[in-house]
Amino acid sequence: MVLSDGRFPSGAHAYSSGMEQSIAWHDVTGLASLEEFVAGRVATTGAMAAQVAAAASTLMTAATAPQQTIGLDALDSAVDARMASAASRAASRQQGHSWLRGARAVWPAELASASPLLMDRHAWVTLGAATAILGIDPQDAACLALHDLVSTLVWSAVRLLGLDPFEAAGILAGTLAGVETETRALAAEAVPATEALCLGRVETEWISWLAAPLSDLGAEAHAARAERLFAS
Amino acid sequence: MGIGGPVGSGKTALVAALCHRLRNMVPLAVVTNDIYTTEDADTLRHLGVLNADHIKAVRTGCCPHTAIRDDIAANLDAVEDLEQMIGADGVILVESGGDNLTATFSYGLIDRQIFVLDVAGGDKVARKGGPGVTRSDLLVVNKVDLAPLVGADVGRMLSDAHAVRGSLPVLATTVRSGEGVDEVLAWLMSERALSRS
Ligand SMILES: Nc1nc2c(ncn2[C@@H]2O[C@H](COP(=O)(O)OP(=O)(O)OP(=O)(O)O)[C@@H](O)[C@H]2O)c(=O)[nH]1
Ligand SMILES: [Mg+2]
Repeated sequence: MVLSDGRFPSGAHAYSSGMEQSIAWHDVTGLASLEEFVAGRVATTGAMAAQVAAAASTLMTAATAPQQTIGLDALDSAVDARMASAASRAASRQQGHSWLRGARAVWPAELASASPLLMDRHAWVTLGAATAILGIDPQDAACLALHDLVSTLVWSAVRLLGLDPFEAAGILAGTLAGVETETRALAAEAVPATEALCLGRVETEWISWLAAPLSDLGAEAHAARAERLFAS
Repeated sequence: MGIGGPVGSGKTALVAALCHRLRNMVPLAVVTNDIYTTEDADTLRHLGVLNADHIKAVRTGCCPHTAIRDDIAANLDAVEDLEQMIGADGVILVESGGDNLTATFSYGLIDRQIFVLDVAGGDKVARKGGPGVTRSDLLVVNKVDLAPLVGADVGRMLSDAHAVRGSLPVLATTVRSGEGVDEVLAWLMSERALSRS
């Protein structure tokens, strides 16, 4: 609960995960288009986020130390390969860095020894691996990743468009409830699929390749803008 | 060193004036938290007070007070990067975005903070208080030159400020002409010496 609290100091409040640019392009103009946009990102980025978080989580509990390194490196590369926008890749690594800083400060004893392994990784990789050390299972790690993605989109839209926050919270709750079964199923499938990684074999083809090309273009356009409020 | 205060009170002007005086004394860098664009950072670069790579602009996601107080992650990233460049011995000035009287810095980010008011905002502001006015390590009342033009009573502002701040210092400045800036600098250097001892 502490980790999924929007007030956890992980830098998340300054990220919009593409929402600022989608609003600039008039793709998102209000609650209805926000809900559609969120559904699209959940079905694409969300699937990858859930699988990667669950796989990273599995690695930390089922693999030996050398294989954890190989596995997390492989997951990191898999995310690189699935994020077409360099700006998105940089934002994801920055978020992983800031998130780990927060988690290490709050749980220094638990995370101290694994910290070098978790440094400079994509956010979903860091999140899955660190939460496993804190006793959170792969399915809950995947749900946390989805919660993070959807709340980033929803709350940045509230700030930028002045949406009714109650309606927006309704979209957040409704989306997460609607996708929970699917997210848990993706995570459950990720556990056996990670077996090869746990043995040091780099097999990541099974991770979803679904992407949102307009969001990738948007991320590049956003990064080139001077007058932006959000880091992504 | 955090530098906060309402919109347009002279934070960037003070940062620039301090940089001019500090740059040959200590390793120096600046972080800006402008609410919109990289205006403040660009201003400082154009003024040529520092190397461009010693000025970092942080994005605050519409919430400048959150970025300096509740979730300081992005500012810490910027400060740590700059610390790597200039060394732990240097001075890093962190300018907040223009905000309201309740916006103060977390001491997890900075060691000391200056809150900048200006007389043109009205001489009632010091009396109104708020954490910036009452608890900042130094309160600066800027744009004293404008007092006669806006009918503000500087003496009143200073005594109101002293009344709510107890023993905490208050300085009057006209940063535009440089008046009072040396006093701010002297305070900064003495605080730096204290924090190092
Ligand atoms: N007359 C007068 N003008 C000043 C003084 N100090 C600053 N200004 C002017 O006030 C305006 C705002 O100054 P800035 O330094 O940009 O203020 P700021 O607090 O950084 O503003 P934001 O970052 O936008 O909140 C500029 O036009 C400055 O030239 C002063 O002592 N006297
Ligand atoms: Mg400024």
